[in-house]
Amino acid sequence: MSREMPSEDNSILEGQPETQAQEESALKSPAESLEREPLNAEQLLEDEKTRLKAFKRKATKMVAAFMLASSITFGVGCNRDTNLLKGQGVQAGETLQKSEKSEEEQEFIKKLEAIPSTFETWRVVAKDWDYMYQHINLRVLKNNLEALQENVPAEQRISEARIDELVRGLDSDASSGKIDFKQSVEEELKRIDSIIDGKPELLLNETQNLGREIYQYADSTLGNNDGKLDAKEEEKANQIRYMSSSFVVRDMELEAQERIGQLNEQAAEKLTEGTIIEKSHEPKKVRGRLVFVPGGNRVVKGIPGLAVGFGLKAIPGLRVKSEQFVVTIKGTVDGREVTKEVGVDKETYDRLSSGDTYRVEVEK
Amino acid sequence: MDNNLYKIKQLLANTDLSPEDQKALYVMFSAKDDAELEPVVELFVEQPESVMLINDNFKAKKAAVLAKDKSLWDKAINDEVATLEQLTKSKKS
Repeated sequence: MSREMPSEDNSILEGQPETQAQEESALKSPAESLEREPLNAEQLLEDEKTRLKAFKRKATKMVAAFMLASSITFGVGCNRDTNLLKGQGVQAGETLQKSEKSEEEQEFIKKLEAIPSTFETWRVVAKDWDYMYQHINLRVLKNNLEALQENVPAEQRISEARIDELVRGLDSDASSGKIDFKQSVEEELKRIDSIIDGKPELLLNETQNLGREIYQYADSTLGNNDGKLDAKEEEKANQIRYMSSSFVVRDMELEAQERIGQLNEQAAEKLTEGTIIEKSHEPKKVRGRLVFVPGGNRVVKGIPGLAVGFGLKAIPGLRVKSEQFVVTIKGTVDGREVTKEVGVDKETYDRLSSGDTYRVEVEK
Repeated sequence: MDNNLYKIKQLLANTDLSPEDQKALYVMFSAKDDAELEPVVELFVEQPESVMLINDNFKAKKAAVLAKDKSLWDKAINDEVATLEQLTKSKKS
């Protein structure tokens, strides 16, 4: 299963200036920064709306897209938090400790990046926040590995000892060579991928749990600023909150949902027997309409009795839509519960009731 | 299944945008309810060149908000208005 790296947001994560204007802004002194006018999302959106009003009729879609970009930037009307202002510590031009990573860590990160797996989130986290992987990602990885196996047949499960070994391998022995890091991790994660490919619901749950866990971690450990955190750590905490509530988790959720949809569709195609859960009947529709044909008469004004034989003439016509009988059946294919709509004839429709079993005739 | 979001993903894949920028736009739009993306899909289909404009616009706004700099925001909006003026002007002619 392919998974895209959410690298789009690295500009935020790494604090790299994205535009020349931003770069210039970052160079301003603190005093200059303090003099900046604060951003009031509500006011700015209102102002923009007023300014774009004049173009609304002629460039409706473009105006809508611009307004959408603004509202998303401020997290207004979004189904998740995208308010960039929430990450108060995030400042333009600041590089997040990239250069402070040790060679060993960089090596570790390289290895993580080389592994195809469903744990992209952690690789991203590890890539940008080295301390995150040191503190929690191994624990979460272990929890996730265990949780993923809950609904997996016993023979496919990875043993607890193997998980421990895997986590240990990730933890400290990765660079020492005590464990063949690449082979063991790749093997296990490939197996997990194959499990998830068959059960994307697990991935969805796992992703949602992951998001919650990152958020909780950020809140409980980094969020309670009791004086132990310096400004940089506090800033990281803000970024983790932003990250956890936004793109990475959402993206993985979308992929999982997409895969679930595909599997449901595939399963529905195979469904040949199920219980009737709904019946719907669309009666024959006969709609009157006027059909215009050439040849209508028009009286020339001012000349009584003179009729000119051209123009269009309206005559009544009919549009017919045939009667339809549909039953919705629910059944199981490959352990997946699916529903399917089946067109039937009137006789079958009348004979069947909700709860009855219906078998789809499959052409051989 | 998010249909419009899916369409946007496909449309972005056919542009010259870098994979990073494609992904950034995709995840940006994924924050909105699918129905709200209808005009964006239509815009991208009718005017594929608008993808670049929206990409630049979003980047500029994001930079302004991250820098918490109103002058940057104002600049982004001024550019936006200028684009719309040009667009509506060319439609007239």
